[in-house]
Amino acid sequence: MKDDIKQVNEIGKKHNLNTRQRKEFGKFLENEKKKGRIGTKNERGDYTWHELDQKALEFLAKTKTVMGDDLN
Amino acid sequence: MNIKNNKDLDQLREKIKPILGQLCWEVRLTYGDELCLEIGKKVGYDSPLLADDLKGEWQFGSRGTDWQLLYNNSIIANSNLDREQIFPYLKLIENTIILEFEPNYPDLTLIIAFNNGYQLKFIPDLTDLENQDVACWELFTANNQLLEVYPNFTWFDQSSDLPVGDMITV
Repeated sequence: MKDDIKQVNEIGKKHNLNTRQRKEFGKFLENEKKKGRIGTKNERGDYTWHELDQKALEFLAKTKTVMGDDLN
Repeated sequence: MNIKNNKDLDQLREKIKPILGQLCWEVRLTYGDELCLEIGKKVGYDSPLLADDLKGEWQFGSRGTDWQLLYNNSIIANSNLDREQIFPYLKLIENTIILEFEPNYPDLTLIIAFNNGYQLKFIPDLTDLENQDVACWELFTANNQLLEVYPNFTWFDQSSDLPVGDMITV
């Protein structure tokens, strides 16, 4: 549990998310899992570091595309 | 701010006070099995990817801290149960009013009391040296701040616009 939370935090730091975006990224991950787009870290379908990194890029890229400018 | 006595939590309690009397309308396990409470006015997320979702003006996150659900001081569920076992218990505190949101000293436990008699008690492991950099709990507030309490006996009130990497945690 704390492990996964720390990983999301570290990914947030890497991609320069603010804390509100980090929280929204967590909600995005929750939704992704519900849609069946799960990770391979464990039985719960949580994401490995690499998968989280890819998810963050997806989160930021789609948000930038729709918003039309750089979020950060 | 350092927490050396109960009084050091008073300022934090003042900042939390506006949450009292608010409706807790959703309780769920989010990514990493963190317990999340959506509280107060429903508002949209900033990200267009979450356009179909709503969040509370106040959002509480347990940050992986162990918790118990109590009724009349009896423990009826806790964070060690399987997800599927936990779900029905979380429904018991949905759509209830928050009567109490009390951080405690010296064990840094947090009690959230609801108007239907249930309570959530969060019990940080203060001996877990590997996770001193993970908050015991966090509360996104209606005025875009983030309140956090850490197991090293500190608490912080910082803007939720701050990059995660710039947050003060020690």
